[in-house]
Amino acid sequence: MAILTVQQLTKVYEGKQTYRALDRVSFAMDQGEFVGIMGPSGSGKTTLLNMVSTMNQPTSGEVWLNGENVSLISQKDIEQFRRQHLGFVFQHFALLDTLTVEENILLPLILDGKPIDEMKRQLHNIATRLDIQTLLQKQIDDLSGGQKQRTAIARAIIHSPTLLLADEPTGNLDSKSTKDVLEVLLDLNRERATSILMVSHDPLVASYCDRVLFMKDGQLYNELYQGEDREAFFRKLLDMLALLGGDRRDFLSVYLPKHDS
Amino acid sequence: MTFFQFIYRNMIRNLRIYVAYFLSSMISVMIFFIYTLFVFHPQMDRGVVIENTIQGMIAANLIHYLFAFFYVAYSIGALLQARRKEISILFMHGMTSKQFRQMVLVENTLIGSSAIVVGISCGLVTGKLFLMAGAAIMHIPPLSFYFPWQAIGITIILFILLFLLLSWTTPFFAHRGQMALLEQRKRDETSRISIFLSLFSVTLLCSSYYLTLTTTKFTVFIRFFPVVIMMILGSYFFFTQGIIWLMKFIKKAKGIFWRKINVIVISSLVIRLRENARHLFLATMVFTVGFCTLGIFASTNVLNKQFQLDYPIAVGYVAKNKQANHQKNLGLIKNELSMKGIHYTTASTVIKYIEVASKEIPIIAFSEYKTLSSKSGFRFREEPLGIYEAMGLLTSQLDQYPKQETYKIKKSNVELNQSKTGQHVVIPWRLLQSQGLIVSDELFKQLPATHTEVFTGFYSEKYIKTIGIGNSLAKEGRVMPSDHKNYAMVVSGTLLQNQIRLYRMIFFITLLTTIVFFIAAGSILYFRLYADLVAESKRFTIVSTIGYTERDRNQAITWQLGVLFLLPIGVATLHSLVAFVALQNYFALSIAVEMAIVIISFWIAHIVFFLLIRYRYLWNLKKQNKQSRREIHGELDY
Ligand SMILES: Nc1ncnc2c1ncn2[C@@H]1O[C@H](COP(=O)(O)OP(=O)(O)O)[C@@H](O)[C@H]1O
Ligand SMILES: [Mg+2]
Repeated sequence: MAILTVQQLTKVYEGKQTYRALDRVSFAMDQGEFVGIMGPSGSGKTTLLNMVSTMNQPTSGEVWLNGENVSLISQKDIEQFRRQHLGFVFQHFALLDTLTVEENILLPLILDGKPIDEMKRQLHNIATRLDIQTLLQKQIDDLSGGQKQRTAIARAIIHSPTLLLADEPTGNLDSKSTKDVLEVLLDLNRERATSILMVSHDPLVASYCDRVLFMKDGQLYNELYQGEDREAFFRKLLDMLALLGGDRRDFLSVYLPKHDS
Repeated sequence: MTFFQFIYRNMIRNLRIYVAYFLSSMISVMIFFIYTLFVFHPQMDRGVVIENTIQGMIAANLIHYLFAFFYVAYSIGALLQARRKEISILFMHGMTSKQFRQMVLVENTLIGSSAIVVGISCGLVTGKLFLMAGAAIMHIPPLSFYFPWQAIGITIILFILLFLLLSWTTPFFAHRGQMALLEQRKRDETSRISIFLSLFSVTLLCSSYYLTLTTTKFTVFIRFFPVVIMMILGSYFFFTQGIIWLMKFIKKAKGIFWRKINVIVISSLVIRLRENARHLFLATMVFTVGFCTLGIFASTNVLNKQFQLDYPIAVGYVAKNKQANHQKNLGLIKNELSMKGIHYTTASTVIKYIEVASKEIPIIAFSEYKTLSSKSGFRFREEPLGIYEAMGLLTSQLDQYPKQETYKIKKSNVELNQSKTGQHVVIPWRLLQSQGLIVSDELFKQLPATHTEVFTGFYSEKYIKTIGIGNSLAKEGRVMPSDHKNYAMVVSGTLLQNQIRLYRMIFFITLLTTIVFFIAAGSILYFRLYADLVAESKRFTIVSTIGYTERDRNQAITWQLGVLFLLPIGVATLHSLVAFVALQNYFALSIAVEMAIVIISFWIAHIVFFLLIRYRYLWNLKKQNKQSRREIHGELDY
């Protein structure tokens, strides 16, 4: 059954120059699927994710999540909807520096007014799964990039959302942390059957997805399935990216040493 | 680009974080300048206000300067703290300590000089208003506006000194923290909160409250300073430790802490309270002093009635010997009274001085005390004295006599037993400058006197009209024994008028300071928060992805701002209420109404101010939010 259906989604940014960031994008995603989105920068990936996440309104087209038409949900209920069905992971972690790791992870449950016992139980489960038990009492500023992202993932899934949205979750990480985070995502997808929609620049990361959608100039350009062999899939992705052209720098970054974090 | 250009541009770009520092400096300059404007007003020393008023104002001025000193020092510290990250980056890129000192100096010079210029200008503009208002409140002829070279000079010199000294010393203090600056700041500073100090602060506050509430007229002088010091220390540790410890304690109670916005509000509050602890402490102290002072001096009616209890006579005259000028003086007073159309009656009594131990004390006879009391219009209800019994002679409502005391009189074997105190003042303190006794009529006749004086009182209903009577004899309404004339004299009307002026002056100045400080404290707090607006807005954008609504956000902000803004005035109110109970001891009449009016007015003003600031803060946050959303959700700006 399709958990997410996107139909003819179009977004036009009005401004000094109107800009068509999304152009009639349609696709569907099944329960438990791990879907990647790739494409040159500026191709509309983030815009697409923001439409799906209800953070921004499409100009036309529909987003159906878990059988509900998202654009018909009233402004009043949208927060409730978001926190029941969606989890977010961002490139820059988006953690609260005023809170500890534990408090950050618990935020969605706190907001839902869950009983303390349940919160503690969930926290324990998640922390064990993501291997961050020892970090729980730490301040955000004391964590490494990988630890931050794992914390962010823990927060995004603690309330078992229908869909986990990740916008370049490894964009700010070194290769070791990238691997850690990727493993966590895969584990969640395999063991808990969490559906994940992830934007990534990194073909290596994307090669772990069941399926990768390619975007160009706001349109869906192509899609590739993993099939049997991940290595082969990785090479297919590289070929596809070369074909897409656009800004080569985006992809080259994979082979160059990272500067940040 | 030279280093100076770099500093200058850096400041212009980060204006937001310099605003609080500039404001606190500017306001310090302004208050000081306005004070000075008053003190050096040419009309001031030509006798419009009596001498001690001016001395009081000079003292207040000095205190204010000291206060400004600490305040500006603290603000510089806060500024450097806020710029930790930037400074540590500069150090990493090879800034030398010398350059760092230079940078602080240049910045302070720029901000300091603009604070002086703007402060004085604002002071000049408002000075005219203040002079008018001041004169109206003090009921003195309007002071003319003058161009205050003197005041300007003094303000400029003193504040240049202040800024130079501070910019020279602060880098040294900052230097110690430099290595620490290079590391990431640890939010976990809260671990340095000590339970011991927190409990200590609570203990201090509670015991100072207890001591204050149980103070009597007799213990107040011993207790005053220790209790004030306890209260100050207690408040200091309360704001730097106690309240934060309390928050941490709440954090442990997951049932409360893990509820909706609580987790966000309390976590932020811990950080904000820590950052602003000393500021909040100072605000509390200024409010407390302000409330108490204003409360007392707003009670002029009560104070005037109190005065009448201390000065039941319209004019009082004590002839210290039998020289001829006394008849002439008394005649002169009578003449002037009649000329003003004041009906009066007189009464006089002999005051004997007897030798007790090492000193001489004045005594009067019980029957005379009774006569004078009823002349003064008091209802007399005191029991006659036994032969060797004595009563304390009240010379002011504040007089205190021991509960039980024996006096051995020299050159006779009489022992006097003083076990009670008269209820009324019949001879004011300024005529005796010493405590005395009331003795039985028989004993009065027997006791050997070293010398005798004669007191004459003029009694009248229209007491206040005696302003200016006997000016040739008693300048400013009084000649005291310590003035070494052969008479002592008080003119109640003149004294009362001077007292009223003095009190109004104090009221006015305190009001001025408290209001300016009140606005300053609020604005400075606001700009502190404003400097952190970007980070705060990011936080709220983050929690909105988790599902916090705009309403949740506004609630969280209201709580945070509310605690920060209302905590000082709340604690100050508590302090003042306790102090007020103790102060009431000094007043024969209740000052509750005046006190309540003062405190309630400040609360109303403060709440309005708080709402305004909350509104502005939310507005700015909303504006900032667009930017934050872009950063977090990767939306681009076009
Ligand atoms: N708020 C906005 N206003 C106008 N144009 C925007 C806005 N956000 C994004 N865009 C434009 O839409 C296009 C797609 O942006 P985005 O979805 O962020 O790309 P990606 O995430 O694939 O790099 C870009 O060309 C960008 O310039
Ligand atoms: Mg993007």
